[in-house]
Amino acid sequence: MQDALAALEQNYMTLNQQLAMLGLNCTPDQKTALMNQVVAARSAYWSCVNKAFHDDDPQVVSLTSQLNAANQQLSNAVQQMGDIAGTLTQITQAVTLASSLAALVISA
Amino acid sequence: MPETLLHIRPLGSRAAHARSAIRAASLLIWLAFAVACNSTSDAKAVATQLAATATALSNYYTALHTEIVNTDQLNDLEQGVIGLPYDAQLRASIMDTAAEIQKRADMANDISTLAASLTQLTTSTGAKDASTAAGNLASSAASIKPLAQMLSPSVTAGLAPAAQEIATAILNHKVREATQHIATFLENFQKLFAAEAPACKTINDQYVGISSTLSVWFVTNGQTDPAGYSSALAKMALTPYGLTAKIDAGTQARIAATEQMFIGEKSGDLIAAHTAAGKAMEDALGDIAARAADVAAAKPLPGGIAPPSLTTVNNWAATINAK
Repeated sequence: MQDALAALEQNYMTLNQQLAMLGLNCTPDQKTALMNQVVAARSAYWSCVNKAFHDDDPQVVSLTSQLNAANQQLSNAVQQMGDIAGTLTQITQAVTLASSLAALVISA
Repeated sequence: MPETLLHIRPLGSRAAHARSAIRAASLLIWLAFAVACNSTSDAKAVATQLAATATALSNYYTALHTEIVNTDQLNDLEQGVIGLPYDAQLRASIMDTAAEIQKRADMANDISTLAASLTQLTTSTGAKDASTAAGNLASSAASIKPLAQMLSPSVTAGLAPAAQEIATAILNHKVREATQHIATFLENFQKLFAAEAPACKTINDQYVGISSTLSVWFVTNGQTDPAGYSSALAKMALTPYGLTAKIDAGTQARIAATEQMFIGEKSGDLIAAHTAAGKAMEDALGDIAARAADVAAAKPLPGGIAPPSLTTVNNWAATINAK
């Protein structure tokens, strides 16, 4: 449980903590896309805080592992603040994993 | 009571008889409690420690509840200043979690009431009050749902029955049994607390995260009062020379980077303080559970061993609950 919830928290917090800075360098469309991803990451996190996790579920283990890797890439990308479009793609991929993990936990 | 005194009591004084009988019964209960606990001082020591532990537990959960309620309001603020949408569904999910934490604070308050009632067993309503307190604890325990975790069903499922057993045993004046059930309840509560520690940590972490994000936004957008951190820094330099800072927007902007660094450091401190508080709380629960079990087994309490300090818990909670 610790790994899965911690991965969801890191995903949400990484994006939220960059929101004020990253948004400054975005076009209006990019900013809207970023906001949508932060909202999805936040929703995935909060939908799982008071839900039971099944650590022994191989799908949970696999998605958590993938999300941790995506979070690490995301953390590097937002620190470099280089290619905004590329960073947004990475953000979308990571948040999609977070949403899938949350959906799995909720449905269990 | 000397026989002569019995003889001089006015005949027909049924109220006095009743009061005397109640006092005698209460004394027997207290004596039974004292015998079960080896000595009155042991019994009082355990009840006092239980009360202090329960108060700290209540402070801990109340602070967590405050963090979640504040998070709800910070999401509103984030929507207002940054434009991040915050919908009713997410708000409901957050407030559900807040309600679940509140149940634990209520349960801590029930433990506190039970502990206080255990020291009042010699009063005419002592046993009934203590039994009622344990019954309320059972009701509170039955209502909780586990936070994000996988627990052995016996842990959560065992809380309410253990509390109900306390109530029944006290009402039947089976004090040693009651003490054993108190120990069982506390052991299960410690397991619950330990299993939910990661969820409680994440609640604190995200609260620190969202508040620090907003603080950085205010700093980077020049929306903080120059009389705050910037001025405090300048004051350190100027005060020895009797000078007063008058900070303009340009200087404040240059100090912004330092302010952001301060926010980062303070965030780390808040996370570390919660981690230490959680560890101290878990240790304290384990300690009081063990002491109650020793008392129930008629083992003498070790003298000179201070219970775990609850100052770390209470200080962290006071920081969060401070308005």
